[in-house]
Amino acid sequence: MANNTSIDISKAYDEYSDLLYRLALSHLGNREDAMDAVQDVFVKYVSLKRDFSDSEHKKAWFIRVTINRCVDLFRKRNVRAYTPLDETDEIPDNSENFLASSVKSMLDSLPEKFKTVIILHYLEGFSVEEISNVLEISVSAVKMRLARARDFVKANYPKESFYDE
Amino acid sequence: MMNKLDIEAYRQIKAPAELKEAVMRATSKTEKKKFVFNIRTISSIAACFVFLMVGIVFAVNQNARIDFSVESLPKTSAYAEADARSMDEILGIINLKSGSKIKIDSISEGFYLIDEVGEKQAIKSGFVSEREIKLGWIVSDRDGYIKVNGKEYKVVYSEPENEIEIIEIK
Repeated sequence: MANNTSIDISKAYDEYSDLLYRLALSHLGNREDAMDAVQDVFVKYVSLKRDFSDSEHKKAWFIRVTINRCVDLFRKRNVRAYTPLDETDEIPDNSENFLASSVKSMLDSLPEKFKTVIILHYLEGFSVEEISNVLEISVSAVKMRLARARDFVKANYPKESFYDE
Repeated sequence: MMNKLDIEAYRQIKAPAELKEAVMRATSKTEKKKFVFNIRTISSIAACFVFLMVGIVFAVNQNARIDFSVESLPKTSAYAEADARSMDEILGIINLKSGSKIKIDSISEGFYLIDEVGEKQAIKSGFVSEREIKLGWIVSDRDGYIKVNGKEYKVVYSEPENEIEIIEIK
């Protein structure tokens, strides 16, 4: 049974870890907290042993729990401040460019509920329906949040625009 | 700001290699804790069940148990000539108390039921009473026997000591 579980965790990890790490990184702004958040999510996954109706349900659960965990960590204000890699001894990874980018600065300026829909829609490429499913809010609520987020960006970053696939 | 290149750069971000190791280690610890927790939970439930059963058995036994007490002893020697004394003088009185009903399954000769006003009444097998009864026993050279609530007792009178003893047989 323990073997099956570790196989299941490994499989789920391979499937969702990149997505969850990106979400955590874009919410928290540093790799250590992002790694902690993702680790917490998988521990929760093992602890709860939920039954999922399908892979979409499972994926939505992982995303929602990751976002909630990031929000919790952020509220507790125990997230580490972003430190450029050249000031640390850490192993560099491909997140460095993103963390130093103007996109990350813009995301940081957004209120939490706008940030989440912007990340999921414009960066992860989720449809409005998929976001509605993940966040367990109505489609119209997602559309409303996206519109308000765009308004917020336009007001604060007048020269910028969103690339929509 | 959020152009195609930004999006591509974002999507190329991969979880660090060391994260998988950390996740597998953390989840493995959680699994072990859950296993230990489950064992502890099952053990605790089993222990509670055993205690509960012991408690129930004890409570049932306590309820069914009969407490005997000798209220009064014969006033004169039981083995003296019968016509030389009144019956009251050779009558021992025994109280029976229980947490539940008292059922006399069988009883030997020489026993009477003493009612609320102290009068002697005949008693026979199958008599049932709530919680407390008072029996009068005409002491003789024979031991008395009472089977009550499924248990059998011998009632013994010791002459020199002027004592009544109730002994559980089985």
